[in-house]
Amino acid sequence: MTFSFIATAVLLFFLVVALITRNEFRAVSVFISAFSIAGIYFVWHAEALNKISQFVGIGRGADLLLYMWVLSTMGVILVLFLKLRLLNENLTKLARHIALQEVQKS
Amino acid sequence: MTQQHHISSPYFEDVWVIVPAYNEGSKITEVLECILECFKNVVVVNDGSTDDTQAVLSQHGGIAVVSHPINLGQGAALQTGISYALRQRAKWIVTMDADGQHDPYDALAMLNRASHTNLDICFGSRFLGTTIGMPFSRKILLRAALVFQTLTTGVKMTDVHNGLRVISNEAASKIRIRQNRMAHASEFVSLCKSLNLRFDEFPVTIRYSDYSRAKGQSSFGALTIIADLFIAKLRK
Repeated sequence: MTFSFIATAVLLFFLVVALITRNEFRAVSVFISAFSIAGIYFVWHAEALNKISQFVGIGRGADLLLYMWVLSTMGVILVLFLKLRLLNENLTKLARHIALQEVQKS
Repeated sequence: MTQQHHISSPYFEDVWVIVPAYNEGSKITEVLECILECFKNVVVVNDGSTDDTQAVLSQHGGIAVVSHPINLGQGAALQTGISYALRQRAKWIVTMDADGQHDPYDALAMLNRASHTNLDICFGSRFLGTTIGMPFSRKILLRAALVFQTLTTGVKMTDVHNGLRVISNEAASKIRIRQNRMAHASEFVSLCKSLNLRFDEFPVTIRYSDYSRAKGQSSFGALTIIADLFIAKLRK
């Protein structure tokens, strides 16, 4: 029971942070919000997770949770990586613009 | 149909040479002296060097210097140089490395070839020409890169990662290099195909010195190039 309260508090914190930052990092915010809400529900209704896991062919609810976490995290990492590449492109354009404004001729 | 441009004077008023440079303070003067024997218009793109490259360039007469505020990579430096050369109304653009591997007289021959055969891009090829002092490991690495290039683009070439190129202004206007680092060489070839540019290779001589060998691509760098190209395809 104590862990359920602790887990709920932590997940609520994640949910609040995700909602606050939803305009900056939409994909990550959606992922964290969904995971937090689902996590809070399954913390208090663990049997529901077990039933879902058996329905999809995975033995335990905890295993289902772990697999979903891994897959979702990999997806988020990919999205963030692609955003980083875009950021790098914009940085390059900015640096090029500055460089071309300050050409030295001798 | 690409409009044919002929070199209009012995000093090539309409030709700009782009030399991307990163930490080449000890070599750049010697390289520029060789280039200026053959060409009048030279722009060095200082790619955020942390040595005395900028100081050396500031004291060197007869060139333009464009300096990136941070290190971005050779691909980014080339695109910056191309952007500058187009602003100077260059009809032909030559790209050369700053480590002294390339012979400016090869670039002259490539210019003649490109202008008289109506090419958009002429790529230098060490494997059609001559290599002096090339490490065996480098040869293997370059051959592996060729295989990857052929598989991913369907374009067959003998030397993709050669920095000596001649580009017409029409082709340069269409090209946008997005790969900042060494994968830009493969991107160049991909762009030739996607933009339907007329291109060919020309035999050139590449001289490896202890200096240029130390500055060349590592085997790990080849893996980075492959990763860069894969990610670029994901974003299309």
